[in-house]
Amino acid sequence: MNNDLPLLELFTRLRHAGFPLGISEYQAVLQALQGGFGIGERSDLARLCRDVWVKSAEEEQIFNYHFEQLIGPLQATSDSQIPASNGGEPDKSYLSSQWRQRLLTLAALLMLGISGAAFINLFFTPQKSQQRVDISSGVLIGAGVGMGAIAAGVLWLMERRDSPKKEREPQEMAPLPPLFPNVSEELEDEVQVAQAVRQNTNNIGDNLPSQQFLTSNEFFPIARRQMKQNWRYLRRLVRAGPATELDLAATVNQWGRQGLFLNPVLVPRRRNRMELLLLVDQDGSMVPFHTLSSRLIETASREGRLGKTGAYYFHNCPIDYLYHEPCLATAKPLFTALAQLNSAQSVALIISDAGAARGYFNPERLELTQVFLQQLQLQIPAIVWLNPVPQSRWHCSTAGAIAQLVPMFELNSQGMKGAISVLRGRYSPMQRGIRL
Amino acid sequence: MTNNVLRYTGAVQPQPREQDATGQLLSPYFPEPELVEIVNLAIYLGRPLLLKGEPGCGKTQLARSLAYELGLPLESWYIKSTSRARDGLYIYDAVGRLRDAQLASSDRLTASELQRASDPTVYVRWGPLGRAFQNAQRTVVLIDEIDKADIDFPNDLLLELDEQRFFVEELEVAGAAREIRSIHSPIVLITSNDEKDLPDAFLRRCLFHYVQFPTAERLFEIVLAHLKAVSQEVSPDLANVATQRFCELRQKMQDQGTIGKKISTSELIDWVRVLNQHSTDEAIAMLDGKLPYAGVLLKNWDDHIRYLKQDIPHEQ
Repeated sequence: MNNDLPLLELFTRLRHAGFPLGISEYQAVLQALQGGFGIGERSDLARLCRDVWVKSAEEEQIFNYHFEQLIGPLQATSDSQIPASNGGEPDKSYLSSQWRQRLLTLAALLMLGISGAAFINLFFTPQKSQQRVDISSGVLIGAGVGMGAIAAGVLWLMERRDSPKKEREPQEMAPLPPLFPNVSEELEDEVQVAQAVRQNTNNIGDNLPSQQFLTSNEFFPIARRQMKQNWRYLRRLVRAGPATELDLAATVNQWGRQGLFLNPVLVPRRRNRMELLLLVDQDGSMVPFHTLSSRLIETASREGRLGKTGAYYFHNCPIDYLYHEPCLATAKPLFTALAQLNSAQSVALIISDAGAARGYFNPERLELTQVFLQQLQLQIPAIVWLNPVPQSRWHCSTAGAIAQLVPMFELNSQGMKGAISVLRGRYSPMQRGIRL
Repeated sequence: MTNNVLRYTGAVQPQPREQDATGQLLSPYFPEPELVEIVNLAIYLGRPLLLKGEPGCGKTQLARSLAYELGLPLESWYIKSTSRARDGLYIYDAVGRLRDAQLASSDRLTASELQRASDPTVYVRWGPLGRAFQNAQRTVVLIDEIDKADIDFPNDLLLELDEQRFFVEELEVAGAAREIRSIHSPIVLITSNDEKDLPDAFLRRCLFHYVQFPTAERLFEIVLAHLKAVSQEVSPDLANVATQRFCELRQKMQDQGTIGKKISTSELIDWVRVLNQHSTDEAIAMLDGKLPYAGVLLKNWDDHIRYLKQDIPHEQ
């Protein structure tokens, strides 16, 4: 039954769109279909797939889009659509090809019949006008046999073409249409990132048509999920807070020393005390990257599980003031902002193009950045720079010079991984050390 | 397999004043058809069902209703911010064992107590999942508000939920930790209030359903059934008018954005119960004017102020 439905194709597309699905989830749907779930209307099938594969409201929109593309509209439109929802594929084209085959068979039989009749005619008619009959019946026999042969050939070819097609069906569902004209922008770029990243990392995009990837003016080299995964590595576990956990070893030890058991030794739980300071360049050449940086801030503060996440904004380079909002409205003196940081547990991450977007060398900017980095490093030793502009463009611009001062990484999955490991105090081959 | 036998319909309601095994009053429950279907799917596939939805839409109640209808035991595990995954399986009372060891060394234990203390299984206290795995009957397990726990909590449960087994490190059987395997795979319901995102590896294994807030008609049914369950008679007229007023207020709060807490079903039931102290006509007359007993519904001072401001044109 699953051979008729493009379920595998749907599943594959959802996986490409970044759904957290594995083979067992595909099997679960098949198993449920065998168990009698999702059979009947098309909407039942959609609900079954949605129940097993969709895990959030945003994913549901993406799912609905793909389902409608592959299997048909979700709102059942009463009449002829209903059998298609159950059986899926055996639709008009299949039926019409069957009709064509029958017509051809009929034609072949007819031709054979006529030529046969002509042949019989040749032998059983009187010899009188034999020559004329001979010619005409000869033509008839020839034409009949020829047509019959052609029809049989065509039939055989069609049979041959159809049978492997049925087996290959799931792979042949392409060409894929351009994605998501109607899904909201936000989702669109999320999916696009997931796809683009996938193509970059495991390079199996060869067999996929190029239409699958949208060309867009926006630049999203890293998916939300990858951001979350990376933030989770940023941890420094410290025992803090109320003592709730039993320390068995210490209890036994204390008992041994005191000679009798008085009370259990409790210790606080381990918590992530890492405090992250995000410094985000706004406006000017950073305008195209605003969505990207706000998503970084959002994932870090919501799902980063960090002790504390703070974000300040600046334009080009922080001079004397940092700002609380992206619109740079409420200023806070740089000195005060830095003094409030807990220097032992904080790490700083700067998100800025460092002048690489415009691509020229600005000595003044370099100098200002250097002064700022010096100030910052007095308070926080671990500083790292994420540059949304590709590394190939840093050369010969201010970014290249700043990259000599502070570990700078390109803002993609690999770069973020590198940046986080530097913040955790690990050596990275890209790290040159902060030279000030 | 018992899979084919168990089928939840959502139509079986407890009798008024009926109590469950723990002595708690059972309340009626009216699930949507989609919810019933996904519950059956979860039972069939043996996968945990993750329920999300705004507070008060009946996520937790579903587990009770399910256990009641299928006649299965229910194990509830209410997650706290300090909960760890192992707490749901078992807790080893190391301190108790130390205490007993000390008492034994000073000859303060009787022979029978000594006999008991020498058995290490005495110090293992099974958690809800641990009990469900060992129950000879298939069990409904409710893991309530999983998002309250630490980030790693759901991931720590993956093995237990996937393979339906776990190890008790403190008990040794032939030199290895004792393994507990489930007799029947439990029906696991998990609720989340969406305060934290759950890890993908965990989500992948769950079925997901967003429980919608009941519609006005369903609310009306719920109010009638609940009041009947506590043996209060309410006239359908009053329940109807109150439900409509409630939905109006809820819609209004929703239109103004999500500031403050949304009013939910349990508040409506309380409200109707309070209104029901008056005679029906009197209560309906009260509902026509300014919102009576607003304190039952509006828990937030800002909402209150906003409501009062809004209500002036409503009265004119």
